[in-house]
Amino acid sequence: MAKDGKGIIEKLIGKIVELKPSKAYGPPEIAPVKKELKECRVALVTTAGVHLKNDLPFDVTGSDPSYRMVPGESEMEDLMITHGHYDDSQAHLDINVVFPIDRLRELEDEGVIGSIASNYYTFRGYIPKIRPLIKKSAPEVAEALVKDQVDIAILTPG
Amino acid sequence: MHLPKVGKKVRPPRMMHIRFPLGKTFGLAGDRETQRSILEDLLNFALEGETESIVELPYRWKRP
Repeated sequence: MAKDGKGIIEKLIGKIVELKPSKAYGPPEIAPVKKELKECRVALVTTAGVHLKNDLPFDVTGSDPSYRMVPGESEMEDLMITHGHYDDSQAHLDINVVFPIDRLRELEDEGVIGSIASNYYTFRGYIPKIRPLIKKSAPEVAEALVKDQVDIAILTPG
Repeated sequence: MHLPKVGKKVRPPRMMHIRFPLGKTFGLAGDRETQRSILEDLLNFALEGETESIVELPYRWKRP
């Protein structure tokens, strides 16, 4: 638990969001994968509030359904976090604890995965008003991932 | 995912649950080994995990 009481806030938010989201309308569409991991193109998608330092920060005052694009070749020093609803002290020291860009690049270098995506996509994960997320942001990101021929998208929370 | 009850509601294609605190999904800053191990678990699960399955990762949080 964070010393500033954020741990208690996280637990409370956790309990609230257990009641919040409505059930999904139906089962997810499952894309068949007929490749081995070493042939797969991989993207990261996170709700940890990560974005490029020179990009527009997320709105921490309300429900921000927007997303940011982070080039796959970005370095840790290019990035920052705007979130406010979780203890990001470790992530400020090492972004890989919520958004493992360096570890994924190592796996690419070693041939464990085929390639990393051209772009990763990022959100701020406190979005009580989910309709614009379902209707606009999420489909746009999904379409961009398909266009980039991504085989696996790893979603990391925050 | 840290909140499996929430995740279950939105029916993701596949989900892994980790008993680490939010903000430390892949472990602690500088712990490359744990970060990498969890990432590899996720990648393999993406290919091999059953549709809509929720699997708990075996890692246990140790307060630094």
